[in-house]
Amino acid sequence: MLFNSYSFLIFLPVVFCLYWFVFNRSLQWQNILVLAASYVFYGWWSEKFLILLITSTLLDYFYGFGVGSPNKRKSKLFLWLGVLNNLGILGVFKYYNFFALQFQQAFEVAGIHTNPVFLHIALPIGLSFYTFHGMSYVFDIYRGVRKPVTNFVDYAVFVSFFPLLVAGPIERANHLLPQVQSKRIFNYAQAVAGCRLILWGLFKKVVIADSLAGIVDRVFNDYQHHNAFSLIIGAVAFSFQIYGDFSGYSDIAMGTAKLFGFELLSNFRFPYFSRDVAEFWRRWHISLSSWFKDYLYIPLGGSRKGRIRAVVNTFIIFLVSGFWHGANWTFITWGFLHACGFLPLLLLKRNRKNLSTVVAPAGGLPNVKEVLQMVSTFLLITLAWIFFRAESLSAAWGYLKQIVHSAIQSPIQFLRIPLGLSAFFYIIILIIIDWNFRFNERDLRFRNSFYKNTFYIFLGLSIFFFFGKRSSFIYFQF
Amino acid sequence: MRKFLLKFLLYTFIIAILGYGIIYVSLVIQPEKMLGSSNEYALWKYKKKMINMPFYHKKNVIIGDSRSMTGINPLITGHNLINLSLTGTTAFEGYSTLKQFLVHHQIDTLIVSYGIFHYIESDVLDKWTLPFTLPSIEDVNMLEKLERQYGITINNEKPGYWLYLKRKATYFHVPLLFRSTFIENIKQGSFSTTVMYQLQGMAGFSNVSTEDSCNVTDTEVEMEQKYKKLIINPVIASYIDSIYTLSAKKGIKVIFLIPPINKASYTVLQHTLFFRQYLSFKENLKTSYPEMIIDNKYMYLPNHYFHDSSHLNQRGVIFFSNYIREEMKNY
Repeated sequence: MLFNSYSFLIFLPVVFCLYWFVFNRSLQWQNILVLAASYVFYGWWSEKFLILLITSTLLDYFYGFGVGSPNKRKSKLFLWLGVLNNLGILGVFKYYNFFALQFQQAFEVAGIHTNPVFLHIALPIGLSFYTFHGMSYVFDIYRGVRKPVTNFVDYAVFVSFFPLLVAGPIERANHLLPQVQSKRIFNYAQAVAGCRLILWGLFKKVVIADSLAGIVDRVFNDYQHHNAFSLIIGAVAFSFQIYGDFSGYSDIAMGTAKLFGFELLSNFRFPYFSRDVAEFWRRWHISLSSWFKDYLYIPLGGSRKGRIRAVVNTFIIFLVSGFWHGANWTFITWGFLHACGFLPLLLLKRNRKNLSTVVAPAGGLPNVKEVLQMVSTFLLITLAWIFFRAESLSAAWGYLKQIVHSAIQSPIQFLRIPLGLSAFFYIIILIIIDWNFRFNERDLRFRNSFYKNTFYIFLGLSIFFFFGKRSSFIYFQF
Repeated sequence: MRKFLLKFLLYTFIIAILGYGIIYVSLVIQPEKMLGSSNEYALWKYKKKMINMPFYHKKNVIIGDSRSMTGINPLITGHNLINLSLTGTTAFEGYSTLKQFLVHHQIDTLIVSYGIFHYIESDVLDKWTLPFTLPSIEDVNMLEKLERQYGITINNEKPGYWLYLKRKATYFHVPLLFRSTFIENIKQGSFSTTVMYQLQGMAGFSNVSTEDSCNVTDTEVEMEQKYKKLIINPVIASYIDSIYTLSAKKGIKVIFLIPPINKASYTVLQHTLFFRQYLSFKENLKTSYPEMIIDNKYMYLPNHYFHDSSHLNQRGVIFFSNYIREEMKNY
């Protein structure tokens, strides 16, 4: 079920009413309802893969008891079983064909013809997200951060909570499970904030991202026949499409969770106002980057074991992050480019420079230095997005080459109106709104109620007119 | 909770009222932007105007689809001919047009010309002309009665009350039906003034094609590949019958003109069962309506007369219109 579908428009109010009016007698019943709703939400897409989700949840639930054992050997054994279970599912469904193809091609180079078996199965939606929930659970128990959950329903709600089931944010056992296990009381302010986030998220998805998608698809699918100016616009449009699409999803997820009394982790903090790549990664897909930091980067030694090790660890984390998105060299290259952008900051020890401040903290407009920093960071990130969006590495190279060739051959094109210029209409709207809210992604504050009401009516009307196009979220494929 | 629900409902209500209000106002102020393609709106509007124009002489009239609308130029054919054909229409609209035209005028000869597509596809009954209100509401009711009588499916579904309700709502421009197309309609450009000049100056004919030749095989060949057999839609057959009956009653001579396709398509189609059935359909017409003249001299024409596989280009229009001019003497 998609957040931007009519079925969800009916599903959400029905579950909301049942949750607060019928199942509000006990916490256990509320959790059972949330779990049932989550399975309906997921099963709407595929009943077959719902079985996979339930099986994976059951296995991690039982491994949790083993990991929580006082016997260190037993604990480690079950930790590995948990990791193997989740990585195994990911491996089979997401990466098997990629490795089989690499294996075949490597042997072809050596002149040996092999015929590996390729699997013809669809990638279960949200697989990378719920397996990471499962792993976070066993890791947290192993690290002694939390105890195994005895109630299966509680654990299953943590893994399968429908707002975050298919595209995150990737929750931590330590953050969400205590909320699942404690009594929730309806909170007016929280529910209103939830509705506002849902509106804002839907606006970013159905108005901004879906409108940009047409331009992006046209340019990327036929890049050979576009000039440099249009290709640049296509790449910039994709930067904003993926931001609108994914942060829109995260906002809807956070808003929906708020309606049920849950607070999810933040996933985006206005990433395109970042002044360097390090800051970008503290603002983009935060739940994934912090997951990798806590469960991979720090266990590998982080930056505590010397500079070379820190560089190696940085590359590992970025390459794994790229690979997490999909079994394609394009994603790995995307991760590599980000690592290259991060490396100078790490070596110059400037990677923690913009840790807590926002750009133009006093309000108003940024200064020239900040503008230059933001633009250069954005350009680097957009360059990486070309690899992320392209079908293959050769297509990404072709795209870049076409920009250079076309710009050299016909520099006058930059004086003419290019294809896709209308993208800027949507991009500017998004930038203006984001800029005004850049201090707090969860609380869209206004000077007075007139501005507030006008803004939300504008969002509501825009969604009203744009809603209905059946388009999936980009991150569903991961 | 009560406060939250009330506020939620209030906001939803405000948005819905404002949203549909905006659509309603747009439908009233700029119907050409809201009712579909602006060019189609302009075409329909002009045809409607032609139906109600005062003519002082008996007229010869063409009804048909885009093939005849863009293929027969009355300025070339002469003979007081006016072209009431309209893109994407079937014999249903043709009958309605004829009926309306006869309220104020007299006709000597009626040329009926539709491509194969418009005899078999049931999807063509999912009427795009509805928002333009070319047929009257009685005509729409009659169409639905016939659909029920013949058990027609539209887009592979048996039409039910929902489709009928949707049709009526479209016909009466209920804003609810225009929400999903609102933004697309706003984005579309204004109608082509060239089309309007042509319509006005050439008695309902318009052709803005720029192609010099066409050797591709699309519409008709795709139909053959899709259906293999040609089964005439009984609703369409019923409207052909109505056209003939009404014409006979008014003493109008009816010419059933087969529009040509390009040679490339004909070469592919000529030996197929589909095409043989098309030929026998014509023969059956001759048997059923002995007074009707079936003109199939040009089942096909050379590729260089075409803009696409079934629509003539400027050169083709001159050739075919001259042919009609000569034939009109014999009809």
